[in-house]
Amino acid sequence: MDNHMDREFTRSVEELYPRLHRAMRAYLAGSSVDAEDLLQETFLKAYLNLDTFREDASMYTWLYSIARNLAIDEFRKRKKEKLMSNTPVEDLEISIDDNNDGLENLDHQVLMMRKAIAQLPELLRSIVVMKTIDGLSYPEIAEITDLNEETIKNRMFRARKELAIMLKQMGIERS
Amino acid sequence: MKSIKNEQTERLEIRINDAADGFLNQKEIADLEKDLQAHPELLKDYYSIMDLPDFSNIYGELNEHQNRNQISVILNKIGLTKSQNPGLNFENITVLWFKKYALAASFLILAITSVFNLSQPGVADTEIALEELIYPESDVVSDDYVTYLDEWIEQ
Repeated sequence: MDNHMDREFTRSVEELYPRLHRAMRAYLAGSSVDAEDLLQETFLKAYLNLDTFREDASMYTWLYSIARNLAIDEFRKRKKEKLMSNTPVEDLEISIDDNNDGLENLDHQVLMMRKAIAQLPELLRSIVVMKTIDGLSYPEIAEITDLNEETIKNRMFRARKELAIMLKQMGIERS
Repeated sequence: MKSIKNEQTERLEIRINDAADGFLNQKEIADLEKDLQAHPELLKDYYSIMDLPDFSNIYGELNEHQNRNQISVILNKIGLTKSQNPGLNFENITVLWFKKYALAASFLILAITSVFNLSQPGVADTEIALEELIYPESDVVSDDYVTYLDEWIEQ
């Protein structure tokens, strides 16, 4: 790795870590996979495979896809994803993060919304997190997931429908 | 193969999703709502989806100090990996350079060789030159053959 690439990668870690950490916390909520551990592994793997990064691609979506693939491997290893999906919403443990995310007035509605997302199966949850929480565009999501945009929009519809049903059961309305 | 009904439903679902993303203008929303009148189940989904709360701010970022700590941990791990793998730099550079330049170098060598062969003095006809390159004439073989015929006639 030459010095220029090293410097660029270090800059990317500093610039992209906060956003990627936020997205991974949302994606991993309710699972036993730790976002910090996962991101350490993600950046290390990215560094070791930097020569496979296409310069015309986005570093963020590349890192995101590495993180997501590592998380999926971890879900498979622990075999807890299925168990998590079968847990009733009320029983899911979603941390309030002790004020460490800037949401000091985390209210009941936000907690229920987090739980509803965590209850979605991975195929839908990953798309919801990318689109509604991380603000990625459909082409960017397509790049990460290797799916076409139509399929992603269709999954997004199904996810929204599921969320609407769950939130209605929780008594959560539009704020 | 998808049935026409399924395709129509999927198209409507995508339009509902576009409406929820704010991609449709007033007229397109009015058209969608009109089309959904024939699909009461989807119309119900449409209203409940449009009524979903905003999810964009339910997770905040860590504070500056926490981010800085985590970034330091990552950069330290990368530094440690580099020091534990002294051959990493050379290996990566070699692989990277090979991938980037091997194909270009092959074409360049081929082009230079071709130009060199075709520009040799005394070889005007390229077709003959190419034939000569592939099937080189061997004087020794033809001479031996003639000698053998001469001997046979004399006998």
